[in-house]
Amino acid sequence: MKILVTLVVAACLVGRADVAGAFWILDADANAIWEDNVGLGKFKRDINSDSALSTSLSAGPAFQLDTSTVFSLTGDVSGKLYERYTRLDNVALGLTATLRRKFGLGAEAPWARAWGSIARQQYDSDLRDSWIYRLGVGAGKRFGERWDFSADYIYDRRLADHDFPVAPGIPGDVFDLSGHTLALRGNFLFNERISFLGGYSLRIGEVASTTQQNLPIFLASTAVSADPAFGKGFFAYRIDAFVHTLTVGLSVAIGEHSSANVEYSHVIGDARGDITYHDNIIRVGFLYRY
Amino acid sequence: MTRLVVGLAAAMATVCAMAGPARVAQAGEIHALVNDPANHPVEDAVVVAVPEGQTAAAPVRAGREAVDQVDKEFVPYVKPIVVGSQVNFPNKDNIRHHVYSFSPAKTFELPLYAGTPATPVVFDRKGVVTIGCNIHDWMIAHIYVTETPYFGKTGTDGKVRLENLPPGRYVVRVWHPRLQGTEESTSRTITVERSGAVDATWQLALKQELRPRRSPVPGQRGYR
Repeated sequence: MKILVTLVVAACLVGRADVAGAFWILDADANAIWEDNVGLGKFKRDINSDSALSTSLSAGPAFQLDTSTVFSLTGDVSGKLYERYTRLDNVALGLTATLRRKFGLGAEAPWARAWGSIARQQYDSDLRDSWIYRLGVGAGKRFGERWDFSADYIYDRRLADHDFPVAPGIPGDVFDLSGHTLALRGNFLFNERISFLGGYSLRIGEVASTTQQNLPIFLASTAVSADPAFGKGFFAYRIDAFVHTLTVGLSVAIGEHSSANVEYSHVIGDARGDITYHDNIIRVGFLYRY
Repeated sequence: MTRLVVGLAAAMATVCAMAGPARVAQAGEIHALVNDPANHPVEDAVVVAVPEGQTAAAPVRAGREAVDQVDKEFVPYVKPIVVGSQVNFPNKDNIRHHVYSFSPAKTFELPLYAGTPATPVVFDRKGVVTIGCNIHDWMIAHIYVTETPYFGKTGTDGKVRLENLPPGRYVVRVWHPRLQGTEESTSRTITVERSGAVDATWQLALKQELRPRRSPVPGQRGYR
């Protein structure tokens, strides 16, 4: 309902586009993803790989408030379909508001942005159904003709609908999660069409992982619940962790509005109780922006 | 009656002067062809011919020119003009643009606007003026301001004709936004006869074009 109201307000604002200097923005992507540790398991028996198809679409009005400031409000819809673990299939519907300001004149002028988003994510398996809230601030700058860097801080909060405890005294709201992320990202323009990209992020907060019955893990966890998405005998658990993600990628321009992209991410989760997991993700996709 | 004839003659003289380089009875041409090292034609190369010995700008009537903004791009990408020309920057998009230049030959800024700015920008010094849009970083164009009325820009076939050149010797040079090396290194002296054309071919080594990419990059939200 909240989303609907905001969309209506946005539509009204767009109606005043000529006055407010509004224009439409649209981003869409489609990706094929392969991931070798979907459940973020620590032990070999808990590690499951899978491939997925994902797509997302964000569209909405943007308002050029003054010579340096743009405010945008987009409706976001996304979906992901897994090949093996189909109970992880999910769709999300949300809204993102972003305020971006550029400080100065020219392509190398630094910029800063603040944004917030709300999304409703619905899974094939009820356990993961949740509301996701994010707040972020970031800044960036281009250096010369080739280099472009940005840094973002993001606070995320996920509120799950369900609390399915498996034992008395141990919460079952595994997917009630929050975390703080610092993300650094850089792009190198190799030639007119090809960009290399690299990034590092550190998220400090709670993560949800999956394991088969394991007492040390349960003792280190703050919530445990049966996880039918991975089959009988699997449990999802919530645990505090430092999550390091290193990403490298290649982006090839296809015309003015789209690009083909390949990204590889290596994730290292360093959780309480000496629990460490690794995840490798390869993403091949197409990105369109109008 | 005498006053009427004198007036008409004066008016005709003014019109002729405004028509740009004087059309001379005996005039030659330079047919220039610009290729890259692989012999592919180079578009948007500016070819200028300066009469040998000319040290100051020729007394040429400057014109009114335009560089449009269409679909978040400047059109044309390269615009050669003569010193003193006025250039307007009509915004034909339904969003606003913010045109600027840091180039020493002309520093200016047209803050966020729609439509056509009321006052054109006067380019009163020779040189290359690179213009950009502060909202859309990929939007770049180049205005080549020259001191001579004898100039042109190559088409997709890499060719341009400089016409109505009075006979004499000219220093002819070529410039391109991606030119590797200096414009002076392309200079050559060409003698133009009373009639006929002189063919001249250049091979330009070009750099990569490295303006900010318009197409999306994962993780970047562009100007939003």
